[in-house]
Amino acid sequence: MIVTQDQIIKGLLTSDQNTLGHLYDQYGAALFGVVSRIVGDRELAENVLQDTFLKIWKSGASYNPEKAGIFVWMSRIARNTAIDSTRSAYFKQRSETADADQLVYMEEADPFNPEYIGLREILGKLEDKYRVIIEKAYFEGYTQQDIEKELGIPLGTVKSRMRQAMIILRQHLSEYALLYIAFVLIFLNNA
Amino acid sequence: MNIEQYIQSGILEAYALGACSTAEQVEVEEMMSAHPEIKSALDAIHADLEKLARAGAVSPPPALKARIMEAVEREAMTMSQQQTAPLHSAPTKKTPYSRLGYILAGIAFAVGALSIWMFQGKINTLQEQREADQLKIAECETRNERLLQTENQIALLGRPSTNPILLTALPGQSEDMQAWVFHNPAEGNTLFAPAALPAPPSGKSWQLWALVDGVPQSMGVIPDDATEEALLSVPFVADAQAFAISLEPAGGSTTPTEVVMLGKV
Repeated sequence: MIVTQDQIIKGLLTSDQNTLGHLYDQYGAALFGVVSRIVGDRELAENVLQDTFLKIWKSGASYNPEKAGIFVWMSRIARNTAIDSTRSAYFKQRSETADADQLVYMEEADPFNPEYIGLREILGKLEDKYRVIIEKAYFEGYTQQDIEKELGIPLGTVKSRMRQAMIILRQHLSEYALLYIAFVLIFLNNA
Repeated sequence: MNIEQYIQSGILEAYALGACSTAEQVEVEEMMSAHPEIKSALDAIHADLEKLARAGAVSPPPALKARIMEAVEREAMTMSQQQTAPLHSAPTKKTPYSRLGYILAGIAFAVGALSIWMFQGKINTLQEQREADQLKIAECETRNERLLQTENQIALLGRPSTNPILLTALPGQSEDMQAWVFHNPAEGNTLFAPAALPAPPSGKSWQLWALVDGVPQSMGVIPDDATEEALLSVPFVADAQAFAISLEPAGGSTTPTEVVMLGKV
């Protein structure tokens, strides 16, 4: 089934459940990867993903395609929901009792997902001074000002490191994209 | 501001990573809609983050989709129930605006009530006045009508064509009794003046008759309250040769019982 951007926007506007199902199929795994990375707990990540899609469905009418693409909008909701959940009492209790294996499991490659390369692996390519800023901002919900205070570096430096980090990530991501294409080609040849 | 500098400052990356304050978000969004270069730079960063997320995608357990769709379905049902039962929907917010509305409505109501209270007495007086005036007008109209009638009658009396006939008591009756009939065959009018007709005995009435070839024709019962000065219009009988008054039981008779007065034309 080919679903156009217009159909998705119209579906969001009318709270269409089929559109939501389609968005889940398209973006569910990517969003699950992000929220898992944030909450670090499989069960909580599932609840967060459920809340995320409920919010997407409920607030579909407020989506403005001129401001941001559909994934940007959805991932913003997912990240906010996940970050909020890490600030809840439940999360604090869970993370104290969670065993290390579970967290490791979360970081493991999904064997059924050929796209999987791993956030850890990609982010690991960054120098620490860049990686920590991306992690604080994107996965922990810190503002630039929070990072400035937390790391004790000037705001201008926070911004410039963010930019630098994203430029480096872009290079890695295009390398990975090539690797991924190669992987798919090999996979198809062997199939 | 130099657009290239703005892009290179890192603010767009901060925005895309969700690390901007609300004020900075507004600023970036304004810059983005004003400058296409900024929009495309931001789009590129967003695309990178999407790639990053896809690279780190983790397949959720297969049952999760069904669970989520069920939750959405439940939510949809709750929402449609709320829509069909608006009485149970969230209470409306009391904004200062609506409170002001209530106050204004209250003042308007008080002013209205006070006005009605103040003017009600006046309205009542005017209404009474109007009713009294209407009665007076009706009375005036009646009098005017009577006056016109009287003027006509007087005019009739003065005309040469009017024949005055004096009715006098028949032998055996009180000789003081007299009455007038003014007969005008040219105009077809007849008037009656009781003149010296006494009030009839209790339970009796005077009745006026016209005699045509010796046959009496009733011209009606004379009202008991007719004064001596009265001038009454009575039916016109064309070939009347004489007029007579008889004493009859109250209400009159078809034929005269006891003729008391007579006057010949």
